[in-house]
Amino acid sequence: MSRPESPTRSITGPPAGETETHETAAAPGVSRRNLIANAVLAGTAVVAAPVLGRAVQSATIDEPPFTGRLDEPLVARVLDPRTGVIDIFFGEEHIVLRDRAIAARLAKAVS
Amino acid sequence: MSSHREAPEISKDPAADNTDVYAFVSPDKPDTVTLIANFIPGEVPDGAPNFYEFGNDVLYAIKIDNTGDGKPDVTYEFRFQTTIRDTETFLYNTGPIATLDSANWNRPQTYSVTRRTHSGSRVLAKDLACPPCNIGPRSTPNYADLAATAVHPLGHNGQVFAGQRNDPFFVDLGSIFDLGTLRPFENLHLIPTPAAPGVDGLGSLSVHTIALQVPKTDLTRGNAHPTDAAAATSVIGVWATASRRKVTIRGKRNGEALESGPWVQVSRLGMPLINEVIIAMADKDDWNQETPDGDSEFTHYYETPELAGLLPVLYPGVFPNLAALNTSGKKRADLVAILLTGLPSGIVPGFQNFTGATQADELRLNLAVPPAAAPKPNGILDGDLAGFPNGRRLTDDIVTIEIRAIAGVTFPLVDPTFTPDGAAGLVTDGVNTDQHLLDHFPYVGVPISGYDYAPTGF
Repeated sequence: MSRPESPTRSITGPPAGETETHETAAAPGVSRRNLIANAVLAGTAVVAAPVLGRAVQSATIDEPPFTGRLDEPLVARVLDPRTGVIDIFFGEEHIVLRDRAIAARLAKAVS
Repeated sequence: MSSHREAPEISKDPAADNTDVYAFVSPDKPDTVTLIANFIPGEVPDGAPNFYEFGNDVLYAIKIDNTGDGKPDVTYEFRFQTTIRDTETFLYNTGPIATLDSANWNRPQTYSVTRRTHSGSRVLAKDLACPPCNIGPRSTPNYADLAATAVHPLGHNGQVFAGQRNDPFFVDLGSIFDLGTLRPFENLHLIPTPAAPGVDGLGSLSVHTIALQVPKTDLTRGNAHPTDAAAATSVIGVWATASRRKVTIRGKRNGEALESGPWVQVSRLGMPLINEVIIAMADKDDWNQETPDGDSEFTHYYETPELAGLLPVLYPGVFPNLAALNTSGKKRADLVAILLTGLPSGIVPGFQNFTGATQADELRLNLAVPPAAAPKPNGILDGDLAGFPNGRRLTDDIVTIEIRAIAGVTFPLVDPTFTPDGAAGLVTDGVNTDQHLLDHFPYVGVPISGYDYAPTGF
């Protein structure tokens, strides 16, 4: 049985601990680097909101800052950091990013 | 009823709650078909100060399957936009609303219509005006005429309307969910009281209607002209859906919210009363999110409907043959055919609306059957082949038809040895018509104004 929902795109990142050194096209107009940088930003914003007042150390990203712009925010969801699966919602899309390093950074931000 | 507040989750989300779907060959334009999807159940006409409206954040759709696979081949999508003209007032209107662009109407709503097929999508119209809600003689004088100006032409020989209407569904809601009592027969109920006339629980209430009228050939497979009632290409399946974005993050100001991600279906409706009285409560929310092509997951509910088991219990001695059928182990192949695949040729003389083996909750309409000159409320049960379950007209007495079917009157279609109980052909909730219908598009009647609405007390 199928759910009436737009198809999900999947992107696989490097194994945990490895540094992203190249850019992989995720979709027209969306770069791998952009996705990672903004997933962290949005993910941090979303999960940090309930703990305002508590110091949250920002994750460190070994990549140049994102200099483009997004027409709307993206939202990241991490259900289980151990899997490295990060659901990214942007526009009408659901993109699945698999990156244990990013997921781990997000989890550490709230733990 | 027929799908008003029918599932736990959607009952908390009225703007997305699909209450009824209708599909019929337009009686005054028989080269066209009219599709109607209603939303927002139980609108009280005096629902001030924030009168009802479509959700800007809801994707409304009417879907057509013309290949019998339970998947949409043609989809019409409706997106709404609401604006506030005067941010300095608390009022819905600051004077009489005489026209749809009246400056006195402080919260106008407009919408777009997009048509999707396998070859792509096209915006058919945008910035179409909805009518305001019917407030009263000072705020919305000449309401019927005002609302009529919200009927917009759409493409070639088409029309569209979206706005408040009187709820055309009729049912004795108060009695049926009081342990299945039917007022005309409640002297026979397990907990008896004197028989009484039925009461239309929705008669004064409103809904928000999306009505679409398009040429039949816009909906058929290969744009075929449906002239042969025996042809598979003459049959379409129709259902409506409402969807919301997967993610919502509440904002701090003015109810602002960030919405993101794919659209997720939260409500659907093809055949009336299915999620209401066929599907068990534990599966209702899931059913609303599923697509018709997977409805075989729910077939067991049709094969042994709970209501068929309840009737002999609630009305002792009235349904002995149904009780015997229930305990025989025979599955209700009649209901599966009528409700999930359509009736194949050879069952009802001169008629079929069979869409194939795929079991799917769709309102199946044979477009080659001409409109009836004198529609019969019980449709095909009374020999009117233009009526339910051949599509659904506003005048079709769905509650009576489906109760009688579940009580066994249609089982002889698949098992001629079965004799229905005498009561099965008589049972009804005693509410057999809606008083507000129009004889022209959008056919659904003008809503009662808030000023004129008279809630009944004890």
